[in-house]
Amino acid sequence: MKLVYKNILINTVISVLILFIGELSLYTFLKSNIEKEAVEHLYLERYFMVKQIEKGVDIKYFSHNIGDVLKIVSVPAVQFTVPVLEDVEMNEPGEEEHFTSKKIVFDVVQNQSVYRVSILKTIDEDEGLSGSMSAITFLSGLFMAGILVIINVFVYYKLFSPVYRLIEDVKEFSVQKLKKIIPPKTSTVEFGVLGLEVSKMSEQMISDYTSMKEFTENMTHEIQTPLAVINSKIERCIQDKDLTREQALLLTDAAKAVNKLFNISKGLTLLSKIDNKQYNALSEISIKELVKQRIQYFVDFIDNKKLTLAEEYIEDVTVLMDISLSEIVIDNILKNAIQHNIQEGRIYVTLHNGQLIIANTGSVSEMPTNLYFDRFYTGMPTQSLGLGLSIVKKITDYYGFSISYNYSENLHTIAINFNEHKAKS
Amino acid sequence: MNILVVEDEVNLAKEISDYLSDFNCYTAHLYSRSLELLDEIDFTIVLLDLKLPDGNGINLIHHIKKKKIPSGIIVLSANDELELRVSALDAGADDFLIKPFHLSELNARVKALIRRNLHKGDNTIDYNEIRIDVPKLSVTVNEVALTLTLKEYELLVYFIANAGKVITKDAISYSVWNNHSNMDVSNEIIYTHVKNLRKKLLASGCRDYIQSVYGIGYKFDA
Repeated sequence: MKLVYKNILINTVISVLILFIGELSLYTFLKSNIEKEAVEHLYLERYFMVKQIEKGVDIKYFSHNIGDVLKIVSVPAVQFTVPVLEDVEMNEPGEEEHFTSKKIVFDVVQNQSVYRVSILKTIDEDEGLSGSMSAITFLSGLFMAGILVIINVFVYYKLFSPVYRLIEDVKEFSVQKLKKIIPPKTSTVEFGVLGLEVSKMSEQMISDYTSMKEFTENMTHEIQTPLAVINSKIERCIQDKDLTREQALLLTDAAKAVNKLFNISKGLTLLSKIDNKQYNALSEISIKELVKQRIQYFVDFIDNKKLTLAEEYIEDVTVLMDISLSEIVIDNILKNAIQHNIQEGRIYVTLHNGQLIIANTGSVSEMPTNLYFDRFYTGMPTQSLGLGLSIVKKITDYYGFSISYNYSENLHTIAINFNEHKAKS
Repeated sequence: MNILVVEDEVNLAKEISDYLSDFNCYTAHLYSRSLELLDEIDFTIVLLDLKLPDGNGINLIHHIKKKKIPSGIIVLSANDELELRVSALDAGADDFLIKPFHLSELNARVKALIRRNLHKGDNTIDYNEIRIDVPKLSVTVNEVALTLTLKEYELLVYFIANAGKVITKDAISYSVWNNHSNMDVSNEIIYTHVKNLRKKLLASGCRDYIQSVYGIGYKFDA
């Protein structure tokens, strides 16, 4: 639920509750006040009557202008009582309406006779009280709800707008763009602090990313010269005529390790370059021509393992890619299909419906399918680095091609769908 | 023939100079020093590291071209970025070699460049009874034509360029098999091709120059 709706809902529920409680307490307060007043009034009437009677005014002259209902009856003297206050419930004849009244009953003595006087005062005579009160409450409630919605919308669009802008900025933030988040202008202290902190954080992320990138680049770059030195030293050593067989093997092993190190650094540089989107040159590439051309480089390797290569190009597909990256994709897949193949195995290359399928025979894979494109995961006792297919995955991801690996009936199959190509700018 | 090695890594500069023993090598570890040497001596080839402590190698290429110095230029760079390659070649470099490289590869490239630059009309390689016509990709032994596959031809050129030196299988696979040196099977493939080349050479009456060096590679030597 959006903050604004949540806010409106909470506000409305709370204000309705407060209104209800307020009305209830106001009603009770008013009612008790009216009652109190009525009682006071009754006592006052009684006092007035008693005073008048003491002055000698004949009781029979008291008219109906005292209270709402005045009753005077003569009672035997023995029954003389103290004043009694009581509530009376009554229904007016012919009307459904229900009245609550206060009644004071007291005895007065005039000319040796006792008279029982009862003065009754109707409280609910102003019958509109609760009705008008609820009407007022309802109207003010409605008014308040309207004000609340307006305030909330105002808060949403005005007060919170820096926060929403910040959220948009954070959503769009990417370290690779090297653009830090600019804190939105706001007069609200908290939002200001939030914006500033987020901005600082983004700046830190960018600087971390940049230094990491620089480190990788420098590392892979700086490592080349020492490797070249090692290589040259090894090459000089092997020129020695007195080299023993044992020494020769040691030097070959060292050279192999240097070569492997070089290939790792080359692969990692490539991955980081793709990550950094440093391949922007696009060329129109015919996949059919590309595959045919790259296969030429592997003919010796295919012959050496006595592999059978079956090529079937049903229809060509043209893609926009960096040439060197397109070559790396095909080379790495072909290399994989040759190296992990069995002696006298088969390789099937099929291009159909925008999909390039390269399948090869091979030993049963114990490699989980989902790990197939993982960095450094070789799963097989070969000399390969395990970087090849993760580079392929990286490149196909970069261009938005879908790639899948499948193993069934002794065939390892890698399929790239070039049709799901989303143009990258 | 003089070669100028512009390389700030002293060790590497020394190894390059030692390996290119067919030439007179001068080394410069600084940009400024290389300018001085270029003024004093005529160089057939300049081997140039692009990253120098006191300057950019690309500027040195510009300098050489501006002064119309006829030296061939081979760039040695640790950076294999395409833009860098293009800018170096645009500036006038003749070749571009990425570090780490095999000295035998450098040697072959230096010799190929000298052939291209010095013998423009007559680009041939002669080694005793063997003659290679580079533009025609043809080989003759004692003036009798020899039919070689492309790989055998490339092997032979590479061997002759590094004649008298031990060449590793790695260097061969890098140079002749286009950098697929990290393929598992390359040793067997090299073995097969070298064996075939040797057979063909012997059959044509050529002396047996190709020697196998245990555990390392081959040596083409008289």
